[in-house]
Amino acid sequence: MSNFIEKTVLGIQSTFEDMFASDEIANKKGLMQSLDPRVRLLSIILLIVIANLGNSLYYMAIMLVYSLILAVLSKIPMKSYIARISAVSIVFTGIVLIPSLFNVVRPGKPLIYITGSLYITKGGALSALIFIMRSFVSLSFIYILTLSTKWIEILKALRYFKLPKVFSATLDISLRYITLFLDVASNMFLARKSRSVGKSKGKSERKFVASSMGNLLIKSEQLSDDVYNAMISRGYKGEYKTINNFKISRSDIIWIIFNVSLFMIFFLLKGGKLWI
Amino acid sequence: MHIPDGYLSPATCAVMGAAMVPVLATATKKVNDTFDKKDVPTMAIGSAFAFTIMMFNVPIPGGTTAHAVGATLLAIALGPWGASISLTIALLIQSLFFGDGGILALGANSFNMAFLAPFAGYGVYALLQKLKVGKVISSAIGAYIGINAAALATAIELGLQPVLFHAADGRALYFPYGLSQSIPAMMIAHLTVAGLVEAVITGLVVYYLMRAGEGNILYKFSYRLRGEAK
Repeated sequence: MSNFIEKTVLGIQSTFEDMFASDEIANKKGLMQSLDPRVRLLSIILLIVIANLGNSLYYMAIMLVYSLILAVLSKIPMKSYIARISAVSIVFTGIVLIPSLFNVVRPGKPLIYITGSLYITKGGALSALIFIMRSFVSLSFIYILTLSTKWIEILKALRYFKLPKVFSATLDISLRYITLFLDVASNMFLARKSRSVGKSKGKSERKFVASSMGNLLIKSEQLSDDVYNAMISRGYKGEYKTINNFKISRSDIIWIIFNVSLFMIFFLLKGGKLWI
Repeated sequence: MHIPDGYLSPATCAVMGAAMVPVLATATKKVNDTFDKKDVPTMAIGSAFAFTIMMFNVPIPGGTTAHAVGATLLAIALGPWGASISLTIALLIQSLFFGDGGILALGANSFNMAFLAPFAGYGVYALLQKLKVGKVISSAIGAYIGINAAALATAIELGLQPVLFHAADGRALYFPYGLSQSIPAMMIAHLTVAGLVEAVITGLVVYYLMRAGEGNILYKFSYRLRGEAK
C-alpha cells in the first residue's frame, strides 16, 4: 500500500493548484475583485454571520442565490467551485445528517414511512435541508473570498485590522514558509515512492511518516535561524513594519450601500420573521 | 476535527471566540515577557510546520489513512504557549485560505486544537517526565490525552447545540445530535483510531529525533518560550 504517499503528494499538489488558481482568478475583472481587500474580507465575514443567523428555508434559499450570483459576478469557475463546496457541505454533511432524519434519533411528525415504526420526520428533513444549505452558503462565501483575492491582499487586509504584532508577523512569515515546507515535504514523499518496490509494511510506512516529520522539524529549526539572521541583516529590531496602500473607491461605497439596504429589507420583511 | 461553519450557532461561536481571547492574550503576554526577537520567526516556522504535517497521510491498518494534528509535538518543541499561538495561526490559515474549518467556528476550533490539545498533551508529558518516564513514551501518552481532550470538547460543543438551540416545535436549528449521541460518536473514533495515530506518530517523531542525535531540539527550540532559563 503506497497510496498514503500518493494521497499526500496529491494533497500537496492541489494546495499549490489552489494558490495558483486564486492568483489567476484574482486578476480577473469581477465584482469582488473591484472592491478594496479590507471591504472584501469584512463583507465576507459579515455575510457568513448573517447567513448563520437565519433559520428559515426561504431565507437560506435567498442567501444561496445571493452567493451564487456573487460567485458568477466575480468570474469564479462555477464547475469546480460547486464541486468543491458540495463535497464538504452536501456529501460530508449529508452523511453526518442521515441518522437525524429518522424518528428513532429525534422524534417528530412523520413525513415518509420506511417501516411501520421507522419513519423520516418532517422536522428532521427540514432541519437537515436548512443545515446543508447553510453549510453550503457559508463555505461558498469563504471560497469566493479566497478565489477572488490574492493571499497577500488578505494578509494586508488582516494587518489593517490591527492584530497583535506577534500574530500578524507570525501569520505573515508562516504563510510564506508553508509553500517551502510543502515543497520539501512533497519531495520527501516522492523520493520515498521512487525508492519503493512492491509492498511495504504499515509499520515501516508509519515510521517513514514520523521520521519525515522529525526531519522537517530539524529543518524548521535551521530555517528559523536562517530567517532570523536574514531579518537581522535587513535591519530587523523586533518591530515589524509593512507598507499598506489601500483606497476606498466608488465601487466599495456602492457595494456597501447596496448590501446594507438589501439586508435591512430582509430583516424588515414579513415583520422581521423571514429569517427565523 | 475541524468544525465547519453552519454546525454551531453563532452564539456558541461567539462564546468560544471570547474564551480564546484571554488564552491568546496570556500567550501573547507570556511570549512578549520572555520576548526575544527570534521568537517571531520560530513561531511562524512552527505554524508552517503544523500546517504541513496535518497534510501528511498516515497509513493505518485496514488500508485507509488518517492524519495527525501534532499539537502535543509542537507544545513539546515550542512550549504550550508558543504552540497555542502557532496552532491558532495554522488553523486561521486553513480556514481563511483553504475553507478547512469554519471562519465563525475558528474560536471553537482553536479552543479545542490550539488550546486544550497542546496544554493537556504538554501537561501529561511534563508530569510523566517528572516521574522519570522516557521521552518517547511520555510524548506518546501526552499526544493521546491531548487529542482526546480536544475531541471531547468538540463533541460537547456540538452536542450542546440541540439542547440550547431548537425551534418552538423541537426541531434542531444547528447540529442535530445531543450529547448522548455526539460524545460516543466522537470518542469511539478518537479513543481508538485517531488517538492511537496521534500517539504513535508523536512517539515515533520523538524517537527519530533522539536516534538522529537531535533530541535536544525539543529543548533548544524554546527554553525561553517555556520560561526555563538556558
